[in-house]
Amino acid sequence: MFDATLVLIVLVAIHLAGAVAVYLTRQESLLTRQLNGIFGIAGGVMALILALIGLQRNLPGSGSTVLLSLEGVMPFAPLEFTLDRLSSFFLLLIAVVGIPVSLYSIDYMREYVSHPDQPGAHAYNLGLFGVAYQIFILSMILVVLASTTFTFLFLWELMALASYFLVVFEHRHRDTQEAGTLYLIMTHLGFVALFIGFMLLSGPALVGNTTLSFSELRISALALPSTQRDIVFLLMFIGFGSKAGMIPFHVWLPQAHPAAPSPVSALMSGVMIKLGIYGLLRITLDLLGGGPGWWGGLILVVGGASALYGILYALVDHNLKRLLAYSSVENAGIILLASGAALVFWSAGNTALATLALVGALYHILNHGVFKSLLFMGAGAVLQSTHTLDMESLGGLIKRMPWTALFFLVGSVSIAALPPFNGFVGEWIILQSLLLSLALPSQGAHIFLTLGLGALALTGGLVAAAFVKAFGISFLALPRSAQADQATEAPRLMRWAMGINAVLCLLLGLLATLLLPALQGISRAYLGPDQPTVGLAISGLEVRTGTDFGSLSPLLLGILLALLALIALWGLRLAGINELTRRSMTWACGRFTLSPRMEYTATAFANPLKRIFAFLYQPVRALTIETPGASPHFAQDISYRNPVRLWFEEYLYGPVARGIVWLARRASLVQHGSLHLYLTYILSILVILLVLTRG
Amino acid sequence: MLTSDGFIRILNLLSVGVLVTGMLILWRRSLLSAVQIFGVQSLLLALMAVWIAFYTGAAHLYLIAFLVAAIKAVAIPVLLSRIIRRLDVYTEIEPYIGVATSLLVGAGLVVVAYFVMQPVADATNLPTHNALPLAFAMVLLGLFITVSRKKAVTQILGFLVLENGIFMLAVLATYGVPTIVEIGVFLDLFVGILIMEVLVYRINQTFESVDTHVLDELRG
Repeated sequence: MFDATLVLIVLVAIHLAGAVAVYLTRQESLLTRQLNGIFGIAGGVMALILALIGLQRNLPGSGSTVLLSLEGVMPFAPLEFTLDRLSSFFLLLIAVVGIPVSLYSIDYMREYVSHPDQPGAHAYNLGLFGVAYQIFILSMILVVLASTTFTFLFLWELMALASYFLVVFEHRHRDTQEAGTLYLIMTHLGFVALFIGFMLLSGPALVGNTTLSFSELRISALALPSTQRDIVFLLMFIGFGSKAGMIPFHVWLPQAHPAAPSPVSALMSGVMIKLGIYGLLRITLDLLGGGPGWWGGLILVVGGASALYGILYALVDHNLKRLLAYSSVENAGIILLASGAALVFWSAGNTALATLALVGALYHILNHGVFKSLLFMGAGAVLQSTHTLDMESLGGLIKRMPWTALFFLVGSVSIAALPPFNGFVGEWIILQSLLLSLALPSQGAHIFLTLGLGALALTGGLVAAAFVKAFGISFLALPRSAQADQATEAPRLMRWAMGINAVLCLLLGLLATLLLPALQGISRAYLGPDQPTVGLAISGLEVRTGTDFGSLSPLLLGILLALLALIALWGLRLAGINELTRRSMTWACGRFTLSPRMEYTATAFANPLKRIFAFLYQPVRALTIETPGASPHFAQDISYRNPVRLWFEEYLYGPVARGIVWLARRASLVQHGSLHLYLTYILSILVILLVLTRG
Repeated sequence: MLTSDGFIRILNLLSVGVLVTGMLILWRRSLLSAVQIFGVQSLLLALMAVWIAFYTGAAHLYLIAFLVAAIKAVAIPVLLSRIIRRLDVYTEIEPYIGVATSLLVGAGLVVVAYFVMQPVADATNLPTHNALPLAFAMVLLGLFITVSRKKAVTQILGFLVLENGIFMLAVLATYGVPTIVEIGVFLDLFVGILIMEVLVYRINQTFESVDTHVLDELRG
């Protein structure tokens, strides 16, 4: 078997060498892209090996071993890396998403090399992109292995900075700069909360101790007074939640994801926001060792609200990547909801249900990583081919980009949690845990968990609607613009990368029973053995929940669905329909020409839901019709705008930002720029000091 | 040889004369006459240096006195007058702090100087100790002139008054710093004034005014 420490050293060396190699070859754009992809994939493979070592290890407890302890790299504190079950799982996520995305980036990044036939296009420095990319992946891998406070915070910050530089890669666009700045502000607000949180968590151990390893924190955390533990939890919740994209700290997500190059969006949405969840699980399950029921309740409520808010705004957004970003808010919400439920169950002593909910959360983390990176890669392929993300100018791409369309469809079906794809299994387990929650004795918990159940169910329906819109409007019918009309299929490596993820979506759905025992092992390592009854039992191809409550066999279900499809086809044949395609003119209310302008638009698709949830969106309807003549029936120009209200931006961040500007104005009275004023300060300070120190 | 008593009386008289010229600069709005008053003040300082040199026998002070008279009483006033004529700016039209208030603040600063320097003056048995607070008052007055006036020329004048205060303090407290240092200070001062002259022309060119408050516009 491989030696885990050696694997880690090789992994770090690969990414650092990759950063150097990519920078040195920045003049040769093809070589740079290839090197970036190859080093990214090699590092991903190493991470995968490390993850498999960690998951296979049959050690009691959390199965942690110190891999590496580096003294002297940093002047005042050693860097220490430990592999345990939770970090192994997140390593698996990074590897599974990172490898296809690195492959994808090889062909995608040629977007940024200037073409001689496109004189307007600017070249961007792919060398710098490569450096930031390698550092970003490396810091994500190391952050889940970090096992001292200093190591963790250092790498967390490195990850934030590397991703910031990736977000602002298209730095010539003003939108990108603004999105980057917003991201930088939000991530640092979160960092401040984390920093204070870790300091408070250390408690008395902080004095004269720069290492503050997690094993020391585990002991010192038990001795903390309960109010201090509560404050630590709240700070960590804010800090990690802002990275995970939970409301009200989600505002950077819909800005940063569309601004970043598509491989980066895929990594940020697929992996990085999950590390926020990792941090929250590490703190609540491991370091603090559980807490009162309201911790879980808070996570559950905020998670449910994020899920609903995210998907409702995804529904009405017509920028393909921003839609996906809002959907990430929603999925982070689902994961938080399940994690919160697990904590509630755990604090109530029902480890069986806690394990069930946590397994659901972990599985959804992996699933979302796979299908969301697939969808972002698909959106990137569309962007590269058509240079627009506005769904109202897309359409008809299924004829022009059949492979991309197929893979995007697989991603959409997965995210909508339809069997036999992976999204279904994860959400099914989460729903099962919530349905079983009636076993808890507390009435209060019933109310919250039932509300969570409702939120999850409503979210599930809305996700399906949002992705019918995303796929249908973008890929079906006629192209709505010349760019969409001239679209061509994505390059080979991009198709391969998307294909890998699409196959993974199917496999993670059909063969869930192979992976679930490992997740169960992780959960039990922190939560303890199941009691009072069995929560989750995996036998052969079947997953059972509770005691004879629910049962699912994903593989059999898949086979059954395939059979049903065959039977349906056979039935059509019996009915005498031999041709699978039937060509005829679409009825156009008596007009003979069909133009793309008659098509159903994304706005129209979202409108019924916009009306239903008008109390939330508070849409502003602006309709102007210009009629040149006397008759109102011959309109020349009709413009219709119907923007929705962004609650948090308008009512939370707006006033805060205005308050800060107001304070700055007040402060600028002192810092006025007037020479005389500054001289007056000198004179008065001189006189005051002289008078005070006389004697 | 004069008695110690006579020496002190003359010295105090000269010190008060320096202070009065400082207050006069605060009072006069005409830039030309303010420059002339500064020349008179420098001349009084030179006399003071000669007087101390004569009494204590510190020969190097004669050289210093000559330099003060040549540079501060003649060269600098001539330079400043040239700036004033060339820029056609003869009066401090609207200072930040009016003349009457300025005089009051000036008087207050003298009180502060006495209050601050009293322990120092008490602690020494120099024959010059009564004049020490006056020298310090000149430092504060000089700073106050730069603060309260708008025209760049007046502000340079304030700086020069401040410099005079420091010089007076040095002469009174230690009968002058070493000659080489003093000469260095004069060189510094002279070059500083030349640079300020260039700067004032530049400010005038750029803003068509030598009011330094227009420089507020520079902040980002």
